[in-house]
Amino acid sequence: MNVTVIGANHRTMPMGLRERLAVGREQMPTMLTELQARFAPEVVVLSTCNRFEVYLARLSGELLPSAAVLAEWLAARLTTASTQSLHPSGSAGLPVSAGITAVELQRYLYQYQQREAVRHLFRVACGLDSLVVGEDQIANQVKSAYEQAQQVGTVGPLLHALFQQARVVSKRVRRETGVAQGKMSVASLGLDYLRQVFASFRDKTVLLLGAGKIGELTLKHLLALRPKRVLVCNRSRHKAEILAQAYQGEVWPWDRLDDALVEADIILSATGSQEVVVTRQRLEKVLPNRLGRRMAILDLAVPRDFDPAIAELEEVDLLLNVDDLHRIRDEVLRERLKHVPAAEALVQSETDSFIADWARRSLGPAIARLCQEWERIRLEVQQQCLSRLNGKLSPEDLAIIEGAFRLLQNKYLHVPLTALREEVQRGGRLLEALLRLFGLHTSSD
Amino acid sequence: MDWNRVSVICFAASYGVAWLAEVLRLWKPDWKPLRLVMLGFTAAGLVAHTAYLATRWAPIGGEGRSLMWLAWIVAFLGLYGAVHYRRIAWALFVLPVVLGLITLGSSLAGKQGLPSLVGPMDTWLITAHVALLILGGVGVCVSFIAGVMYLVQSWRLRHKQALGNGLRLLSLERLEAMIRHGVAWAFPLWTAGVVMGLIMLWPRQEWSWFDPKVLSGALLVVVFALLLDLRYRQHERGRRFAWGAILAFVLLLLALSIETFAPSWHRFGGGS
Repeated sequence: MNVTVIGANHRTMPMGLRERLAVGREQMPTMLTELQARFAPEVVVLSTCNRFEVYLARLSGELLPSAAVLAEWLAARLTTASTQSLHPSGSAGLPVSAGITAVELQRYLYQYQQREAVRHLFRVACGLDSLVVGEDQIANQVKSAYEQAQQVGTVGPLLHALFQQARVVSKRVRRETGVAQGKMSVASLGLDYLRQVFASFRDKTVLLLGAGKIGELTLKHLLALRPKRVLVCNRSRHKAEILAQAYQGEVWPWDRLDDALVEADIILSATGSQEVVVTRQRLEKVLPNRLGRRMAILDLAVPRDFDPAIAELEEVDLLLNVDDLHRIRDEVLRERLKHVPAAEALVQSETDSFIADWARRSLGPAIARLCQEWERIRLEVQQQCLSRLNGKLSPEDLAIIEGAFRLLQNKYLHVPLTALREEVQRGGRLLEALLRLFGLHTSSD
Repeated sequence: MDWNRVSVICFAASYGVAWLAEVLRLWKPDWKPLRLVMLGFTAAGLVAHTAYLATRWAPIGGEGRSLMWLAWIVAFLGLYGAVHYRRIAWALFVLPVVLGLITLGSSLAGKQGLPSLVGPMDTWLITAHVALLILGGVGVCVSFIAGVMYLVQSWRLRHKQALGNGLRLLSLERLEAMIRHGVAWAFPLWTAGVVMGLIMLWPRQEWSWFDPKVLSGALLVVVFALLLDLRYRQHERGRRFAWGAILAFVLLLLALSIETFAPSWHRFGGGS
């Protein structure tokens, strides 16, 4: 196995520099092709807002570039981009204040090779190396990076196997450990709680109070559950109309808010009001008109729109505000961290088994070639010897001589092949040495 | 295998192990063997329970036998729920009820035998009386289990607890529907069972409306009526409704076991 990863992430490199290194979808094919032409036949580039990583691999044992070499190339690329006043991602704008030297850039880069590179990719795919441990977006980003490289044609057998396995490991870790349990975004957390109150949303009315971004985002998530009705109630009717149009809702006049509170089953509130919009007394007045229907409130506004005392009302099944959601999110994260050791152990075991599998896969053809070569030599020598003794030997003698040659071949091959199997399991380079020693390299390597 | 040797301990222990496995799932929710242990032991318990009831088959029996049948039906529903709702901690709530019914049933067995003064003509009436009460009891047990789950779920939401992988419950809306259906199912069946019992008691001179058995049975009918009124007329949905379901379950146990501590004419022979 000959694979390396060189890159930087949120821990090693400041955001400003990461932004400059980031590669957009449009620039990716060019970058992959250039990297392939310069450094290795197999290349995948993983570029997200938190990391930039280049995976390089080749089947032969030729050296792959070091972090210093790649840093030099990247620095040159950044300088070129800065002279064109273009952000590397292609979006014009972000001015590059100054070029960066390769030495400076190298300070921020890490490099993992062979087994460590495999382990690193598995950790990244599982979200163990992410800013928010266990986040699920990274698994898709890894998949997308692989697919892009595949389209460009920079994925070979090694990176193909590695990235496929990374997907499997990511799924396994998320399924078998609690490292990805719970939701981390305020909107999806809120939705999870609503699901604990309501069995079905198709007969429910959602009231969006205010036109805040977070409220809109949560509504967007909620619409996936297909509520019956969406009411948008905002002080500015114009904003309410825009939102109502975007989400097939109805505009509800602000001065009839009490009626809206009667109609709604789910309330998403995100007004910019500096005071409480719905006090306990106000809600208590409208509750009798609701005929005991369930009520769940996600108060996403800061400061709060709903009086916290409302949570004590028997008729209100759920009242969550932003502080609650943030606290719950922290709890989820703390809970996830408890599962990190189990996830790391799983990654380690998957790394070992990938290395062993790959060794078996790569060893097969090499051993076959080695045996064929020895077979050819044996037959050649045997033929020479037997042709000199032509006619002097009985069939039994011929069989004994042939057997002796075969035995000699097997005895000679036994020790190197055993050593080879053991060494390759450990990730050593004996296979490469042996192939060179016996002149078994092919041009395809 | 000699099924006659199956005792109460066999299936009670099996249900107990299944419940422990379900408790452990709260900490290790994704560890599949625990779920398999829970399902396996519940199923094994149910098989032994069935064998126990089949080998001691009798068309009618005392309260002890009725409770064993009730426990069997609840265990069956519990197993169905555990298979159907993979992630819900179903057995956690169902199996204690099953174990409670078995314990009470086995403590009553032997103390209360068949009514000795019943004529052959009344056999079908008694069978129908017992069957209706058992089926009504199933509704009460279902609404009780859903009621307890409702209160736990409601407590979690009111205290804004993080929804981890551990204890997963149905939504409040679904649980409330279960309570409602349980009560709606139990009310007519239990009432019919009580009425049938009264019809059998009527010709006898000794019984009175103040007989503890009659009182507790009738009280349960009143509670059902109140619960349905609360739900459909007063639109009560919340925790009070769940507490009502729990009260109904307590009254059910009381009605089935009252003869052990209060003299009753129910046994047609004049008390214990």
